Amino acid sequence: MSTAELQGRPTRSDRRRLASTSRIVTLASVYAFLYIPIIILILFSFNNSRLNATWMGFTTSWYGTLPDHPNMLNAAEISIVVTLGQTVISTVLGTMGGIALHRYRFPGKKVFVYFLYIPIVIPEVVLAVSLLLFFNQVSFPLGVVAMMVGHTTFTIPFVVLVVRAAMSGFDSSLEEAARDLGATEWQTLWKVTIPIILPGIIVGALLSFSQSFDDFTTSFFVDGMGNDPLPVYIYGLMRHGVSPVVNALAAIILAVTLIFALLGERIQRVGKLARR
Amino acid sequence: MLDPIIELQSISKTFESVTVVNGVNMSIRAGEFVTLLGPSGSGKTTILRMIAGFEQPTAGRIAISGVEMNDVPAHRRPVNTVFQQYALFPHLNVFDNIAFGLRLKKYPRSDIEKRVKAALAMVRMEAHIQAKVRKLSGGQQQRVAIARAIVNEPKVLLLDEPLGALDMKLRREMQLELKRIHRDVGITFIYVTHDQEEAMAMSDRVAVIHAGHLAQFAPPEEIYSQPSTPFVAGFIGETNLIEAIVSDADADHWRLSTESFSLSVRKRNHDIVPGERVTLSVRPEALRVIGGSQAQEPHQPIVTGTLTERVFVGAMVKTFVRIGPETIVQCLETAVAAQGRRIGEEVALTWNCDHMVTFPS
Repeated sequence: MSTAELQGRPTRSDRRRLASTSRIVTLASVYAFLYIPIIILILFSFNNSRLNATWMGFTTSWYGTLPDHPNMLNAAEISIVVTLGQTVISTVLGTMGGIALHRYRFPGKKVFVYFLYIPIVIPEVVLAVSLLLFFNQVSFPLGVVAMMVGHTTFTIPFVVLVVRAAMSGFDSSLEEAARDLGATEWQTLWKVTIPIILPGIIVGALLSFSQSFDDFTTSFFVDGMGNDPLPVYIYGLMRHGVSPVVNALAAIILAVTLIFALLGERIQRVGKLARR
Repeated sequence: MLDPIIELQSISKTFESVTVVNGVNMSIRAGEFVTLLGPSGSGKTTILRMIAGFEQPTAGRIAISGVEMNDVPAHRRPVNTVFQQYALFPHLNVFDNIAFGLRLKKYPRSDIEKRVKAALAMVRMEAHIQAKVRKLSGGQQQRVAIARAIVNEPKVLLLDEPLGALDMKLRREMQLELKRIHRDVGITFIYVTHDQEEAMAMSDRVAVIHAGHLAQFAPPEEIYSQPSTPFVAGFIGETNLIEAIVSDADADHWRLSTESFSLSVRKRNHDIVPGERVTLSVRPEALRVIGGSQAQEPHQPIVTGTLTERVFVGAMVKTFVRIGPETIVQCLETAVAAQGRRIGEEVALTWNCDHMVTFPS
């Protein structure tokens, strides 16, 4: 027995145990804070009661009633159209930007890159208000197309970021090899560069998709009349109290976003493995 | 086949005010194996890249088969390149890598298959036709890279330090392979390397590049025996460089003096006048170590000195002799001839002046 133990003072191993316990508690509380509301939301979407207060038994009927809300289907359709449309735009533009930023040096490039990332950093409400003012000023009709354009402004940086990272691992002598074998620049882009950085592009597209699909603020400002996408539609429902229908709908949105995010992560991992 | 396949007329390349290639003139014959040899940073790779079309010369003219290439983009030049790191397409298998160029040229399918198979047979990789590029070893990737280039039947094959990434044993093997492939396909090879042994072993002619200039362009034997500058003499093989001054000259001889000896050599085409400084280059194997009193042939210099070091290199012995306060020369003797010599011994050296080169300083 050591003198510390004999005297009843905490030993080093005691202290270590204490440290690891407190670490686990901290970690658990952080995760609880993050996930308990979401878990409750999903749980109560199966609650056999109109109130989100007490558990009254399991049911899937709230999911069953979703199609009975005609405006909801419309909202889902608008969400999908806006998200897919803006994903295409931001992926194409973002990929071009990512490749260009990797390949070319030009005066003011650093500043350009900072400005590119500003939409990620500034409060979205500022972005949304400025978009609304801008659309009014140029007499651009609010609605589905306006939302696509609006979402693209803050999803492009994600695509550029990911594609640029993919390009940094890309061996540019492959492009020279392609040209050497008779490929034009266009053919080189399609037959060599894009297939090789494709995992990066897909990850960018998925990020862009999930950012857009659950966007509320920008959509709320620029969607015009009768073009509510799902998040705005849910907000509308909430004015009549939080019904379990909202829970069910939120759970579905969560599931869709999660699937795309996981898919992106998976592709990135496979892409990294493949490059070894 | 007397017309040059590649002609470089005073080409220069400047990157942001740094001149990397400076007024290089070269004329390469069809079917030749030419090596661009030089230390790293000498501009040899830049010359190759200008022929391939990846860089534009700042000045000068490049012609392939008599057609000016300056404004022809890389993808329309009748040359193909084997890259240093192979640059195989990681998303394609061996077959698709080799078929890449043929597909762009819209060859019929059956033709592509036939040609790819023939190219793979040429590099002895038939068994790996469907293999993933990543699964191949360095040497195998090298072979695929060569097949991918020669399948397009270029007029000229450009090779940019293709063996640089391989280990020594594989290097020797691939050198022989490349020579065989060169013989079999009969196209012109332009090969870049910094390895002078490799250059000597493989080439019909070697172009020594030094600081952006073409120092000498000649067959290996001539480069070795008649180097044009002290740099070439020192870069190709080992040599002894001795500073001397022209003390006198008659109709067909110069009298040269060094700090420790003087000798008379037959005049060459250099325009050297008495009083001028020169550099002498004598190969270690041209030096003969003799007993002090042995007779010598006329015009053969004789120098005495102290043996300072002996190093065994297999069948040969490197003997270092101090012939002056500042000058130690290196001799290469057979182990038999060198037997019994001791460090500190007084020896005499002689050599045939035909094996010595004189450079104006």
